[in-house]
Amino acid sequence: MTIEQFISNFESSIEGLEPGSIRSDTVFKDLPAWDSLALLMTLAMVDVEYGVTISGNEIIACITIQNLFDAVNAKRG
Amino acid sequence: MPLGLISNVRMAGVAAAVPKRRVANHESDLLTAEEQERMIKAIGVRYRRVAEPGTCSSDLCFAAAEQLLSTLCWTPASVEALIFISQSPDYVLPATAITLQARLGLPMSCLAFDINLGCSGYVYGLAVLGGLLSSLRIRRGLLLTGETSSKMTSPRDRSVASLFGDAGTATALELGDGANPIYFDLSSDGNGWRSIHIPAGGYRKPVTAESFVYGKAGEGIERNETQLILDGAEVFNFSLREVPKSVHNVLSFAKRPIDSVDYFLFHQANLMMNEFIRKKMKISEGKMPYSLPNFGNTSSAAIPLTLVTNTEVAQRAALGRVSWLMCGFGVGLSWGSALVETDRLKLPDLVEI
Repeated sequence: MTIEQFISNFESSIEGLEPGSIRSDTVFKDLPAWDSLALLMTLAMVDVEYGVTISGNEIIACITIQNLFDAVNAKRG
Repeated sequence: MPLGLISNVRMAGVAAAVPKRRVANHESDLLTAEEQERMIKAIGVRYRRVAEPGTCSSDLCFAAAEQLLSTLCWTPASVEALIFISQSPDYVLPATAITLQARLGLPMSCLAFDINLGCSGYVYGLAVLGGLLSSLRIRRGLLLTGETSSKMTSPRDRSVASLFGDAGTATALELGDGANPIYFDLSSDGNGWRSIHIPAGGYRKPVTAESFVYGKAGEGIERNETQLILDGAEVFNFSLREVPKSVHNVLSFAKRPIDSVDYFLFHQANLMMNEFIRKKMKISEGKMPYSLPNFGNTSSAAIPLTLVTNTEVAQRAALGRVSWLMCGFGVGLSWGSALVETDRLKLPDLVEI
């Protein structure tokens, strides 16, 4: 799993995000498209693409996309 | 998870009632037009029915039950079991089912009680009522499930205000030796009780004047302690984890392949979540009907309401044999699945009151 692929999955799962608009240091919670629905979309994407369950609070604890990527990676063991 | 089956009870008919008053989510004043469209697309709720202040869950269930009894040509005197499942009862006590026994003209020989469950309630109700009929040899019983969720959500909470609708349903079960077995899988996880709850109003936290003071719980979320709190992310994860498991459990217990199911009647949680589970389980689109677009999430009424309000599904069920996989999941946390086979189900038209 690469960060590039993760970013692309993130962009395509959340409505209102343009491809190429996200970088690894993007603070995703500051995005205009980020809300409670986007949170659910992210949970769903992580479940489908990476086969792991991450909690809402674990996502909220992350700041950048890199942090989120690392959290998912850690779960995959 | 107890797996079990009830072998001599058949489902005879299902009816549903909703309030006449229809609220359109695209007219919500909590959200901008763009937010409305996005939200409608994600949760899948375009319209909701909202009960008037004087209308209770019991009134909706009563209307559905009357309609069902008359369609089935069942005399009230022939019904000797009544279960009412709701989280919006008429009174703290007595149990609403008992008042409904009298309102419906059911005999005094009728057992009646309430069960406090939400989204999983319909499946639990089938198991409890079916089990009673079967073990006590009661000929006929009514299962009533209904909720007026609009009265327990904050109008200033955009995380829930657009999601829930009000409805009441009635399902008729009767003893029928030789009926196809109904298979069940029922589960609970009380560790998740906080995911969906109302803090004040029970005896753990009695209502005081302060219970009605609104507080800000997040962006666009203001509510007081007598109103519903829903942790969408927790419920989402729970459903994704447990629903496919429960469905597969009941199917493997019944030794039936997933393809043998005609329709999957799932609790109408929200469209994104249900669709996600559907795709994960590789269930074809045509096999999973929805009532979310027109009625919202109607808690324990969602499964029977979906059955009654999908014309094609209802027509097929009225004419012949249909095999259903029903799955309820939510508040508790509580969840369950049932594999039910029906033959020429009686399905009166939706009642509006």
